[in-house]
Amino acid sequence: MAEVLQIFVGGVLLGAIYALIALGFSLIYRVTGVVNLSQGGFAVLAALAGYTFSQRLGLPLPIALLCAVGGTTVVGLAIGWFTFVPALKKLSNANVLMLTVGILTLIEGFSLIVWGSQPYSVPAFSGEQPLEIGGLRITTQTFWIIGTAIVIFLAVWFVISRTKVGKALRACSENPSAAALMGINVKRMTLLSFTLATLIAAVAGVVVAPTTTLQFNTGQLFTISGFIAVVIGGISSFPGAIVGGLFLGLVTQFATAYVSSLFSNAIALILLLFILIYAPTGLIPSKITRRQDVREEPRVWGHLTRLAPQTAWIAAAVGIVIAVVVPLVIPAAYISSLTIAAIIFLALIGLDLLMGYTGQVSLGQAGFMAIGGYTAGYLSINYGIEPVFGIAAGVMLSLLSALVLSIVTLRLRGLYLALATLAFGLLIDSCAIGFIDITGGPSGMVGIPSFSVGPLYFDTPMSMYFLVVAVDVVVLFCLFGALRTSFGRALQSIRSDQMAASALGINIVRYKLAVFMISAALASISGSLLAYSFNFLAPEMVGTARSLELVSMLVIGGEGTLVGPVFGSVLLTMLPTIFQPLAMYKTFFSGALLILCFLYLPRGMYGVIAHAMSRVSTPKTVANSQGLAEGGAQ
Amino acid sequence: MPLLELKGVSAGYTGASVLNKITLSLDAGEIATLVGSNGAGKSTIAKLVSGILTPMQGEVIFDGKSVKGLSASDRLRLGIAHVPEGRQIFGGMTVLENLRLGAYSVPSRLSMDIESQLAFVCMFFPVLKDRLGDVAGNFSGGQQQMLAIARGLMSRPRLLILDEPSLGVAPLLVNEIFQLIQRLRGEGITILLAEQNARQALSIADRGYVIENGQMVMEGAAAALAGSADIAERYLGIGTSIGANEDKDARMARELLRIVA
Ligand SMILES: Nc1ncnc2c1ncn2[C@@H]1O[C@H](COP(=O)(O)OP(=O)(O)OP(=O)(O)O)[C@@H](O)[C@H]1O
Ligand SMILES: [Mg+2]
Repeated sequence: MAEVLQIFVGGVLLGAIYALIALGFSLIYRVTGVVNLSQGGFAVLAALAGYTFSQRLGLPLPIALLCAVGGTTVVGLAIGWFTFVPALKKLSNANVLMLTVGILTLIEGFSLIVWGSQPYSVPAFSGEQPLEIGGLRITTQTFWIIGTAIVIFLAVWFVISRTKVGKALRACSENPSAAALMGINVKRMTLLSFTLATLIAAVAGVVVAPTTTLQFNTGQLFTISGFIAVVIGGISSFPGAIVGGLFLGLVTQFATAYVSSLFSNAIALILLLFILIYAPTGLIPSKITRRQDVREEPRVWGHLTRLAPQTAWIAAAVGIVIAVVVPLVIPAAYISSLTIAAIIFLALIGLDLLMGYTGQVSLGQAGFMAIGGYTAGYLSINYGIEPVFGIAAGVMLSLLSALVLSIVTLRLRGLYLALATLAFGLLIDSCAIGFIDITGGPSGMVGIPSFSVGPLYFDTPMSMYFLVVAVDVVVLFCLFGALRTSFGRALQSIRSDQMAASALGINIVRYKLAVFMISAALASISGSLLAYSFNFLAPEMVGTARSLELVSMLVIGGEGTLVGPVFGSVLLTMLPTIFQPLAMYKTFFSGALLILCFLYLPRGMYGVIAHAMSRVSTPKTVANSQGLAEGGAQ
Repeated sequence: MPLLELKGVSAGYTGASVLNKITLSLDAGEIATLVGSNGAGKSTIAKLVSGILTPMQGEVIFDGKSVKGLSASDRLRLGIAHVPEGRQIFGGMTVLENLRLGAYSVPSRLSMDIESQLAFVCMFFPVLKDRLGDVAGNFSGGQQQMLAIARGLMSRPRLLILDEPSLGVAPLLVNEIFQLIQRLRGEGITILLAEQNARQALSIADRGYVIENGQMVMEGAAAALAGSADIAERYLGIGTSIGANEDKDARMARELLRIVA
């Protein structure tokens, strides 16, 4: 009994932490209709700053923590002002979600630069000696955390339901345009909610810090747990955040105690997927029906810069020549990075089809890479199976998983779709770590043979490079061909309006499923190739961090272009290799680039390049306007 | 001196120009009505006056002073309130909360004023009085329209802009709403009424403006306009039932057909 109670207390503690992060999600969601995934990043930023102020600079603890929380809140205010608020006007909800992934990456990158990659541990506020209460041992920090959580909940409840500002915040969440008519400054309220959420995250961060080890990327874990909690509970109600947090905390804690710590995450995630199927609005649905304003609509797209057919053929030829020549002239050491870039590009093509063409968000694409990589690796190591069959087996398994996952995802859009795919990726992550006998667990799978086809061995970086490039080119040509048919047009119409598309008789489900399958297969092949090329596979190579990186690469390269992502992939893979000393700044820059692209270059690097090229090739715009006129006449 | 004047105002939304050099003026204590078919630009004029849209050209003058650069909340404090098309009440909040949000722009130190205005509004709308604690989203369309008007009154406006208060309301209630508008004028509130229901609007208004495709095509005393054969033919017989949304959907469908075909 005492044991159960002990676990219960642990669960409540964990739940209080999750609930605090969840509260921030809920606050921003209610006012703006989007989810801010950078939440956990701010928590860790504050915690690390608190560490520096108190341990390094020797400030008294209360002052140090106050400075840390204050500083983080100011940073949050600035980031909200320059990125989040302007983005709300320009971007669709799904893209704002991605933008907040960029903010999270930016914060992690900043922490990496300042604090390095080593773990930190922070002393408890009131000593490490636990209290004994009726046979239970409870650390003093537990009281601090639960106390803080209660105070913050009461404060938020008071502000929201009892003050004029709170009413204004709620009005914005229900109907921003009517709120503006009441004289409420909607932009300011948005910024306020963002800053308040940052403040809550920062307070949570410094209080929770002593119970965990901190690393520059711990924020992801906070974000993810908070996000799961808030969806379980119901994202648009504050009690939901609390219930969801506690529920998740207890489940995780009991699962750890009675099943296995390696699978406690998996259990929570499976639970989440079930909730998404049966009660997508969470355990405590809000009374408020979501408003139907413009922000739910997809981003308004200008026409994509398409090259004239002739220019396109020339560009393709030039691209292939560059791809062939570059490895011959660059230092040999870079070739393996280039190979990785080419392998990742394969997954990106699939992701672009899914996100860029069809508008379906996926934050779990690396999950399929993991399935492909581990399946191929396992079969090749243990059964000496030909790599080609290993890849095929991986694809089969990925397709099967995609089919099962699509039971959940086909019904969802936007935010919930992002969440479901994220949950899938995390589930695969925890399987990769948990099934030690198969995957080698956290230390990875070693001894994977090189790729070979019969007697042909691709065991040098150069040979592997050419193999992968050939695969990329073939896949690209096939897809470009397919997209010229009615298939491509159907995808576009799904992207612009699902309801209208189905009203026109387009079988949305079939097309969405097809695209999802194609993208899963490509990711799977990419993962297998990665395994064969490294002769090694570790969970973080194909984990959620990779999924998020894929999204960054896609946006930086240019969505909806198929070839554009190659720029993102090469840039983010090669830069750290070429500028070794700068490797540390990679995370920071990829975050910053992602944000900048979202705000200022919606068509990514491809857009810039294609625009420049079409200018050079058609000096006058006459050709273009003629094309338009013809298009209009049809 | 007129209470509200628009001088050569042009406006539009990103890219598209909607209004072309509109000039109109409205005396204190009057009811003026803007009539015109779907997409004529009536709501756009309403938005320009309340300040949620800025003109590309021309000036909006309220009480003798240009309101250029003033935000919606500044204008509310000057006495301009806007009851938007389609009611736009806060459905998840109670009636009382909705009303209090209507007085959001009134500084808290004037809480006495807010309370007395609340009492005034309750007297005007007995329907709401009994249901102050109810969630507004559960109200019928007509009740929601009453609430929207009541909410607009909470800031003690001198000029009340009503955008299609008869939209989606049963004929009997429409009459009630129009009578109410007349009573509001009796309280000294100037009213700018945008309506597709031209016949009824002109019957209670002092002055009328006919907008077509963003142009002012006719103006004059309401009674004279109502009598004019041209108006009768063009606006009084037609165009009262087609909602703006259907129009949008049709366009979207056409757009999609173009992509798919
Ligand atoms: N937010 C907007 N963005 C772009 N165009 C808009 C927007 N709102 C209105 N328009 C366009 O401006 C034109 C005038 O619209 P407005 O709403 O002023 O018409 P209206 O006279 O109020 O019509 P209705 O009687 O249907 O309400 C229409 O062509 C409409 O499509
Ligand atoms: Mg209108």
